[in-house]
Amino acid sequence: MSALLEVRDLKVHFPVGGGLFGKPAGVVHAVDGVSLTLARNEILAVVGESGCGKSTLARAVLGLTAPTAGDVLLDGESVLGLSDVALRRYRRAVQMVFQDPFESLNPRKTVFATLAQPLRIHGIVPMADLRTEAARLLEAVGLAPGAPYLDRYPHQFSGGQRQRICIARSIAVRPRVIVADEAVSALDISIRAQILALMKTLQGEMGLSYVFITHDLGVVRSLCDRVCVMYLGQIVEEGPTERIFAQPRHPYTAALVEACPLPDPRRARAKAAPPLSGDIPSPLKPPPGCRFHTRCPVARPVCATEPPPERRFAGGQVARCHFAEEAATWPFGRLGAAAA
Amino acid sequence: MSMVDLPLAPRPVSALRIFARNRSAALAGLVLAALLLVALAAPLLAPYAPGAIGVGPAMVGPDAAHLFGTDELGRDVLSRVLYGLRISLLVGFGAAGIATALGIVMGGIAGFSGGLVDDLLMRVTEVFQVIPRFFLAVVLVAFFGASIWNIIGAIAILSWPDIARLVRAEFLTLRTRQFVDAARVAGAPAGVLIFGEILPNALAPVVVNGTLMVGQAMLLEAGLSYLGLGDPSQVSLGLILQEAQQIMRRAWWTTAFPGIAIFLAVLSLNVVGDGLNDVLNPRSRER
Repeated sequence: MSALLEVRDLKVHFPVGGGLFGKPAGVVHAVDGVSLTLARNEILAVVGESGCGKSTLARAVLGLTAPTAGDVLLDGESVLGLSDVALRRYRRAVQMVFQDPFESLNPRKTVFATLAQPLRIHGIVPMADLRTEAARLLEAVGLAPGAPYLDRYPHQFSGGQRQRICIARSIAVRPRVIVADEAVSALDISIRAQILALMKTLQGEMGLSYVFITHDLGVVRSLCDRVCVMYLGQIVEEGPTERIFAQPRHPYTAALVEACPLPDPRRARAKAAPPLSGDIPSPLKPPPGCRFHTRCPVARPVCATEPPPERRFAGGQVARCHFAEEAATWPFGRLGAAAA
Repeated sequence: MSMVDLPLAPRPVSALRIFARNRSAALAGLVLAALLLVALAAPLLAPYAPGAIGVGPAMVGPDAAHLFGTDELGRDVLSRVLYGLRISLLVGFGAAGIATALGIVMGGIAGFSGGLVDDLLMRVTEVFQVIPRFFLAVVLVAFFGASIWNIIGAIAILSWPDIARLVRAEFLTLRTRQFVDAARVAGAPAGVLIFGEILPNALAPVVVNGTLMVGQAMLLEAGLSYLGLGDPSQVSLGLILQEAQQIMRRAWWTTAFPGIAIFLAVLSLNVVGDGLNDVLNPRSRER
C-alpha cells in the first residue's frame, strides 16, 4: 500500500494542574493511540464531536504539538524529532488550513506579506517574482484579478474571502498534503459549498491529498473518500465513505449518521428518542473497557470491562465494537442504508 | 469565479483623524510638539547661556529684559528653563526608550518561551518591582555617579520591568492565536514569530505605556535633581527647582516657570498616551 502520510499509534497526553514544583493533577488523553493512513490523492475525513481530539491530532501531524508516543511518517519516513531544517522541509510537503479565517490571518499583515512569507522561507520563487506569484495564488483560489487585493488587510475581507486567502497561503509551497481543521465550519452554508468546491478543484489541479477534520457529516459525504470516526481520543470506526454511511458498524457512528439532517423533507424520519444523550466523558479519566459504553444504547456488561478489538469487514471497514456484527439489528443508524 | 463578491473595503480612517477627534489629546499633542520644538531650538531661542552669571540684576521679577526674571546669581530664568526642558526631555525619552526596548526583548522572550525561561525572567522583574523605585534610583546614582547618562540608565533599569510584564502578558495570549500557528506551519523561525507576527499585535499598549513612562522618567529625574543627586553640569528642570528652593518665597518666578514646564510636559505626555490608546486600537480604525 502506498501510504503518503501515515500516523502510527499516536498518543498526545497533556498533564494538567500542578505549578512550578507541584505534581500534575492529571493527564488529558487527548489523542490516545490513533493510527491512520492517507493515500495519494485521497480525501480522508476525521469526524467526531467537540473534544474528541481531532484538532490535537491535526496539530500533532503538523508538528505543532509534540506527541507523547507514536509516530508520523511521510513517504515511510518518520517526521518526529526532526531538526529545524528537516521540519521546514516536511512542512513544505504538509500544510494546514485552520478553522477560523478571522483568527488565522495576522491582522497587522497585508495579504501580500502573508502570502510572501512561505514563498520566501521556502524559496519557491525568486524574490523579484514574489508579487506576481502572490497574485497568481489569489487567482488560483478564485480571487481574480489578484493584484488589487495584495495590499489590503484581513479585516477588509469577508469570511469566505479570508478562507480563500488561507487556502492560497497553504498551497503557496506546493504541498502534497493539506490538513484542513474544520476549514469550513465557521463559514455560511452557501460560502461553505464554494470553498469545498474550490478545495476539490485544487485537489485535481495540484494532485493534493486532504485530511479533512470536521464534525459535519454532510461535508464528509459530499467530499471524502474515506472516513475515520474518532471518539474520546481513539478511532472507533473507519472505512470507505459509502460503506460507513450505508452500514455503520459502531454504535457511535450509527448515532452520528442518525443525527445527520435529512435533505429530503418527504423522507423525514420518525421522531424517535435521540440515540445519544449526555456529554462526552472527561478525557482526564476515560472510561474503562469500551470508551463509548457510558453512552452506548446497546452496551452490555462486557463493554465496561473489555476494550473492544478491531473487527474487519468487507471493503476495508474496521470497527472497534464487541458487537459490530449485530449492527444491522440496531434500532438506529439505518437511515444511511435507506438513502444510499 | 464571478460569484465571489468583491465589496470595496472601507477606507481605513487615518490615524491622525482619530487622534484629532479626541480634543484633549489633540491639544496635548500640540502642547507637547511645541515643548519639543522649543527644547530643540533652545540655543536659538534662549537669550543667554543657561549658566551665564550676572546677565542682569539678581532676583528681579519678569520684565521686558528677562521674561521669566532672574535668580539670585543674576542668571536668566527663561534661558535656564529652555535648556532645562531640553535635558529633562532627553532624560525622559532616553530612559523610556531604553526601558521599552529592554522590556520588549525580556517580556517577549518570557511570554513566547513560557515554562522555565518565563519563570526565571519574571522572578527577575519581580526583584526590581518590590524595591521602592525612588530609593533604588538614589542608590544607583549615588553609587555610579551623577552623570546624565547614569541617570538615564538608572531610570531605565527601574522602569523596564513594567513594560516586560505588559509585553509578556500580550505575548501569552497572542502566541496561541491561530495566525501564529499558521506562520509556524509556513516555516517561520522563532525570531520571525516573535518580531514579525506577535510583536506588531502587542505594540499598541506598549507604545501607550512608553509614552506615559516618558513623563514618569522626567518626574523621577526632577526628584533626583531636587535632592541634589542630579548631574550638576547639566541644567535640568529639577536642578533649577533645587537651586531655587531657598529663594522660593522671595522670588516666585524662579520656581513657578520651571514647575509649569514640568507640569505641562508630563500632563501632555499622559493625555497623548491616552489618545494613542484610541488610535492604536485597530477597532477604532474601522469606523
